[in-house]
Amino acid sequence: MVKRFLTTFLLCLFCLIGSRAYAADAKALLLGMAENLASARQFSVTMKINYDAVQKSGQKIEFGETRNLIIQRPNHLRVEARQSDGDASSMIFDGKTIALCSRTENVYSLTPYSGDVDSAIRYAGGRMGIRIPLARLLVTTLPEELEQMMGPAAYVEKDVSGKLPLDHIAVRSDAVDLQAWIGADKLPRRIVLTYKNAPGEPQFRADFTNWNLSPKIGPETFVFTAPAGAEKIPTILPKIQANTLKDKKGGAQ
Amino acid sequence: MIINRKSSLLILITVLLTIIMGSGDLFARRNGGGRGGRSANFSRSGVARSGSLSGRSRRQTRPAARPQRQNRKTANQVQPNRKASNQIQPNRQKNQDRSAQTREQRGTRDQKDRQEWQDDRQEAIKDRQEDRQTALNERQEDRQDFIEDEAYGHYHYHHDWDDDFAAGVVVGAAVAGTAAAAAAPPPTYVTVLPCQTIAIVRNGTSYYKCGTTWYQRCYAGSQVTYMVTTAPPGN
Repeated sequence: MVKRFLTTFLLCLFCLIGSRAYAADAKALLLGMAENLASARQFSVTMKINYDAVQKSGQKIEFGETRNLIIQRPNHLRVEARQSDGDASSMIFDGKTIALCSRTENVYSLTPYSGDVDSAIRYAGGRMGIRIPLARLLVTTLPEELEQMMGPAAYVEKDVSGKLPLDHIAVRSDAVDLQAWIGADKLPRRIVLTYKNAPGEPQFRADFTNWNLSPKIGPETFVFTAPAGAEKIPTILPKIQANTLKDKKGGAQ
Repeated sequence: MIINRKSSLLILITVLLTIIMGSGDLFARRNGGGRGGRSANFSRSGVARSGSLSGRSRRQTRPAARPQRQNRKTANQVQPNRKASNQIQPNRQKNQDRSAQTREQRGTRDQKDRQEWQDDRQEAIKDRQEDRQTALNERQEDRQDFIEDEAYGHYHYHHDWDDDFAAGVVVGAAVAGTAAAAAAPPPTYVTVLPCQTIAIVRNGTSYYKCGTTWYQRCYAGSQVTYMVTTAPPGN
């Protein structure tokens, strides 16, 4: 009787420890990836994005875009985007200016801004209103931000269906269920976000290819050159109360 | 003779259908501009477009008391389209009913054709209005997405102005990079021009005129929009 009880108890204990170990592994893997990205001095990657747009009728339609990113910390960033409908645009930050360009409309704007990549991304996203999917992956505060956001995490499986074996992680938070497929090199290969509180529970999916932590960066990489015949147009910025932008590092105005 | 008349009618209907479908396609392409072409019936916007890790809902962050809205005029320029779009449905129904009665009472081919053309015209008008509305909604939601989802940290919690800004009405805004930005009155912009017009280029800037109002292009977020401006030199 005692033996049976002990065996059951030990089994339960092992299961408990095992599941916690998997959870710890999942968090560690995700934070390892975050620290790897945050500490990278430079990198380039291609993101193939797909997302669900829930229509008024409730029908889910998938749209897509491809983004080529190149970052050289502390203060250089280049993003080239092409939507599935052909709309092509770019954003280049050279430490002093944020250049936006729409090749479809053949216009560009130059917004003076001094700071590092982190603050430029926050400024571009939060102040200028530029859409930057997975913006947090690009800032050096990613590990802390992920840790703050993360709810229960689980190790799903070792995914061996592709060329490389990938660790499949699932993390829950209040509004988003996150799944990440991480390679042995601690770089994400796929991220799926499910907006579970939004009508229709739409998903955002990003596949990462062409990771390069030593990309070839030439003198022209972060220099904006207006396309032929492009028109320079202004950018509208909202005025925010003076104290809202204080104490943000690198937040030059 | 009867066969000839029937086949002529069939050919006529086929040609008409081809023209109607072709013009619809052209219209869709025109709206897509230089893009690969898009259907006006589907919106690209929504929370998943942001790719935000936080996925905050706009309702969670919407202020209880909204900021002042003295510039609603701009929104009103677009609003009538929505109204008009809603009004078309009963009109179409009425027209269809009338058409049915006419067919029964008179049974003449001419009147039926005329009615069909009227319906097509109504449909085209409705489509155009829906196109504009879809484009407007898309841009508004894009702005909302970034403000709520990517304006994180300190920025996020102080963005009480997001609703008005996202609605295409700038309350307390300035044109970036201009010396007189702080002192200048806030710019007013529309996400879609309220009329169909062609650009007039002066000193390298494209100007668009709708009624008595002049517009020039500007960035509001990731979107190229149209800002109310003074008349170009020589106009």
